[in-house]
Amino acid sequence: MWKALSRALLLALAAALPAPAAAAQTAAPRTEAPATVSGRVTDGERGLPGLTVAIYSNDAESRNRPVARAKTGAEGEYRLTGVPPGRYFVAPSAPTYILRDVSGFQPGKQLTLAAGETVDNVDFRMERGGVITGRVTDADGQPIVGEAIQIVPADDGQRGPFIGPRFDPREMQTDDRGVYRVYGLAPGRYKVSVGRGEETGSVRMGLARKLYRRTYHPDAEDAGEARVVEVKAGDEANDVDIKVARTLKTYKVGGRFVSAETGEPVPGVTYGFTVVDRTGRSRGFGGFGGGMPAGARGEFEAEGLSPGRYTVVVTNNDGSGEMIADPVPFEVVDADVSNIVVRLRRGASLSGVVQFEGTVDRATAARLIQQLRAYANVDTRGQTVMMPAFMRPRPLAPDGTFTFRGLTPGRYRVGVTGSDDSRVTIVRVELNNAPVREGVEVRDGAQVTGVRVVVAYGQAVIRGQVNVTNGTLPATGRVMAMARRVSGGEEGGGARAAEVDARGRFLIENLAPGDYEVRVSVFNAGRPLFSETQRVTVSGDSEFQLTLTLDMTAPPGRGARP
Amino acid sequence: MNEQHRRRPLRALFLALALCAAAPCLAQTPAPSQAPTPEPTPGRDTSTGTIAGRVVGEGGEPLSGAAVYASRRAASAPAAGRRLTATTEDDGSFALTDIEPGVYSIMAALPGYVSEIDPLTGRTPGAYRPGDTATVRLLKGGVITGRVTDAQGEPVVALGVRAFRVRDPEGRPSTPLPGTSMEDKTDDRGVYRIYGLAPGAYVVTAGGRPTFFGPFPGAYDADAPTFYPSATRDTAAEVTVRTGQEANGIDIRFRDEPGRRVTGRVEGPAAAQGADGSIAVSLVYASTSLSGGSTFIPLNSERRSFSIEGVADGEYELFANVNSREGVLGAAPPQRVTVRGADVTGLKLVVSPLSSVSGKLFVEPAAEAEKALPECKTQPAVMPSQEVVVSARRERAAGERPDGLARPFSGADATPDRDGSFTLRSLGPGRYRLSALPLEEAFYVRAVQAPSSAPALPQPPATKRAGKAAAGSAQPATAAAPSDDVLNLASGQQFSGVTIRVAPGAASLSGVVEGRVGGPAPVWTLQSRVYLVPLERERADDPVRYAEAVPASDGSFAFKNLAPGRYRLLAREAGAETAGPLMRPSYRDADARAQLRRDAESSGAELELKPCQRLTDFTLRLQ
Repeated sequence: MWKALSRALLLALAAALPAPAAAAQTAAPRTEAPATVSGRVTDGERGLPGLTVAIYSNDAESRNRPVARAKTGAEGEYRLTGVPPGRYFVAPSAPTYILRDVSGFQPGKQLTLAAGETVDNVDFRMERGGVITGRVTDADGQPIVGEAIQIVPADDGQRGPFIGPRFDPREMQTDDRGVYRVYGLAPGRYKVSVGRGEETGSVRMGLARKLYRRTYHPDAEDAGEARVVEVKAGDEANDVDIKVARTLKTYKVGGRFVSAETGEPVPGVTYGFTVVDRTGRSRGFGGFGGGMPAGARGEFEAEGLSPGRYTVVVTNNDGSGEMIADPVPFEVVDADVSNIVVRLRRGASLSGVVQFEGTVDRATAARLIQQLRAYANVDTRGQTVMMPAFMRPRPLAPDGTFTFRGLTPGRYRVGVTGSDDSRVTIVRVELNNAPVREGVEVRDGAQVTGVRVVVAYGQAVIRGQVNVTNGTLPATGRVMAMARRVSGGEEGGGARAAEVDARGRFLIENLAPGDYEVRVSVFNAGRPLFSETQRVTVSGDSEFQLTLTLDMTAPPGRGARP
Repeated sequence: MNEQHRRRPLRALFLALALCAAAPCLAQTPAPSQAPTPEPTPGRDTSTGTIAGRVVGEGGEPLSGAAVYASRRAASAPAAGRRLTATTEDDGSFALTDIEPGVYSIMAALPGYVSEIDPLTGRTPGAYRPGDTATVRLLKGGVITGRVTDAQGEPVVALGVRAFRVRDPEGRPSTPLPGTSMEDKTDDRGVYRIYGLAPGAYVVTAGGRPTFFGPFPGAYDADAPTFYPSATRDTAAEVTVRTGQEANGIDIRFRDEPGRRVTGRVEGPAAAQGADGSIAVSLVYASTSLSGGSTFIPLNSERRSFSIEGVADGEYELFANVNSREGVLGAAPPQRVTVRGADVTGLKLVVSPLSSVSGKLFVEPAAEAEKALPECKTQPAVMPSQEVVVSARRERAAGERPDGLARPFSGADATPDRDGSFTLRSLGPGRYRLSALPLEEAFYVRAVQAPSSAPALPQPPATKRAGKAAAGSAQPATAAAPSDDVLNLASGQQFSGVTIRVAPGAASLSGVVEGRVGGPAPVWTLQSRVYLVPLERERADDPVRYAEAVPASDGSFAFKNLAPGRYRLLAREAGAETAGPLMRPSYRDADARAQLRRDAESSGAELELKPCQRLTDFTLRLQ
């Protein structure tokens, strides 16, 4: 389950961030002279000896593979040798330390290395983390095994316990003795707890197990009474024990799916629950448990719902199911809930075709049609809970057509996505030959046809260099170059992004011919910082070079939208 | 709910399958194979029932808060409507209600505990039908703990440490089960603690490719794993884990050695581009089920090359499977790979589509003569076809080592639908034996017939056939023919038309085997067997009439689902394959059956089982 959760999280993150450009198509022959990377790891002043620094591949086929590693010397210096030319990122591997000033996705520095070159001064600032350890027991003094620990800042505005995300849940769980030990914590004041709140409602996914009422160290159910744990750099806060007095009762919920028209049972839909607020609005994806199939007589029953407000949602993961549900909010208080009748009706549909702009040879077009996936994402913000839950992109028919069924009313952003070797640029989206700007409006039960997604495919390349003025690129965070196609009147997806490496270099590949606006964005704490914007026209499979200036003292969030 | 037929669960379904498998029971009345195809008898297949029970610890103490879940076994479609889950109350009790007819596994889980493993089968016990009562036993898992340090004695932090069971407590090669492959990460002191381990012998590895999917790569990801204490697989020390006990001080000196790469291409008709799905390529240490690395290729990409990183030196088998939401579409035959100090490149794996076998199960009505018998009046005369497990097991190919390990796609189980139709899916090419086992004790398998379109089968010796023809003169020759339970599957073949008939009136037999008069007490092991050998001449070589059981340590044995008829009972102290999930019946070929008949003639006890008879307390004395 954790695996699935972290994967979902990653997907969400990946979706939220601009997609990195495709890997270099030409794998470097092994005979090329290797490159060298060196730098220093310090705490800001002194060097940190004995830490591991590694360089990892950033190529699509071997992403994240460590290629070389070294330990820092007495002054914190390190030297990574024998690195074949290619795309990489460099990062210290010292989990008991924390990287300072990090807010980015991947704590490391991007580097594109040419044959035989030496890159110096790839430096990192790190800070020694602290440890919190203790034991979690139940009302009988028995250990609570395999329970997740939550550590949150005690004071408003304080940074989190982990600098940079930390996804591995095993580092945050009690063992068979109820003992936990969390290390690499940023110095600060924290509240430590286990269990879940009573107030929010939650649907237990996967395996049923005992749920505990959220309890803070040492035995407080109220966060206000939690004893604050102080973590100092390099120190260990031990005996941070938690005594949990109460378990959290969960209940069964059951009912049946019927046709809104005939009242007859509807078999075979997949469903889930989502937590809603007092007005019946979804609280987003939080507390969603889904993907369970209803029975042959339309019946459903699920257990593991804690007290709270919910509604039943029909899931339509691949956009092929036709039915949607009228929302049926219900509340779990202190008993099982049964006989929920969910009325189903036929949802709206949306169909269209993907077409190529310009000339693409038949074989390439056929390959791309096979590899591309169409998506229709409803704008969920402020929408009712009737949305289909996480609709996956759908394959295209051989003639490039696609259809989504079972849609709830709303505004849908339609487009196509591809993998590394099938990246296309969405030129524009049309509805009945008219360009669409803010998504396609789908009314209740409507059958929307005539959507056309015009895409362009090409193999032009933009190679860029960022000249940083009034400062340096941040040690961490994410620096992206983005090329936005301005010819054609595009809707979403018309931008192509690539990572900018530690030396300010970037490469944007697989560009369709056309006019592009290119700029660099620095995503770090707060609002992004933008470079100047430049316009470039590309064609064929040629390479276009440009230089961009990034003023580190420019006000964040400003700059012309490319 | 169906309370009137509260039956005891069949413990050790898989053993029973393996044993009664290729031949549960009789055919007193030959199947009317020339008559029109019989209509399947409607059973009580619309009624639902409850599986209730308790989850207890080793000493029978109730375990509260344990997750209990039922899964429909070998069903063509998953049980819909809800998750069949429950959490146990303070007294350890649970009830799963409104369960459709079918064969279910009941599993329980509680952090730190492991499922009880049946020593005979090496699997978790239990196959249940609605109406059954289940007592699920959980044992406190074992613990392996220690510290990982580098060459300088410094702790290695955030390194994955994995414990893999290589042998079960009976010393047999371990098959993957919950609690037999667990991992942890070292903390800031280099300490790891792996808990919830099933008993058995383990190897412990530090480093190597992480199995956890995380965004952060580790500096050691491309290293070869180091085996405890500071070894390769060949020289690894085994750690014995006992129920509820802690093996501590399992300290590992990390070797810091680069892993090798195993690369190649996947080809073949099942690797065609386009479908949603992926090709899984995995390396498995030869003669264990221990993973040595794996990778995935999305089917919708053009790439068909693979690269498995961080591989340690050793002997491996390389597998490739094509997986989709519809199941496993294709597979490559396992390929032996030896890694010795260098990358292995240029491998080619050819994936071929998998095969299936489909057919129909007929639940026959009781004969009038049987119905009149007083013993039969108390037995159910109908049963849902969903409560029969149909199995196919690949026969070991010539030259294949009997290492006791499951070869992928060499067997399948299915439970028929309501109308009796079943499909055994995801089978590789080879020679298969079909079998069936009704969970209802009152039924036996009358016949298993692969259609005549099946490729030619080896015939029993000519003398036997001559004898059979003479004895069966009153019957149509085909009706007297033994069950045709073997078929050959070609790659991608969709074999259909198998017919299985089950009938009511089954007998059962239990008793004890005693030692020779004046001789030493016999020692019963997992290699010991008690056999039932048919006596009627026309049934002498019918595999469905043979049965075998593994006697308990006190020599007691039990047979169920037996065809009424005359038998000889025979015991052998040793010599059969060790019991386990892959145990195949000893009587799987005509030669073995002939040998059993000869042995039974000289040393067996003769007995007759009447329809519906429950023969107990039978004493067999070794000759």
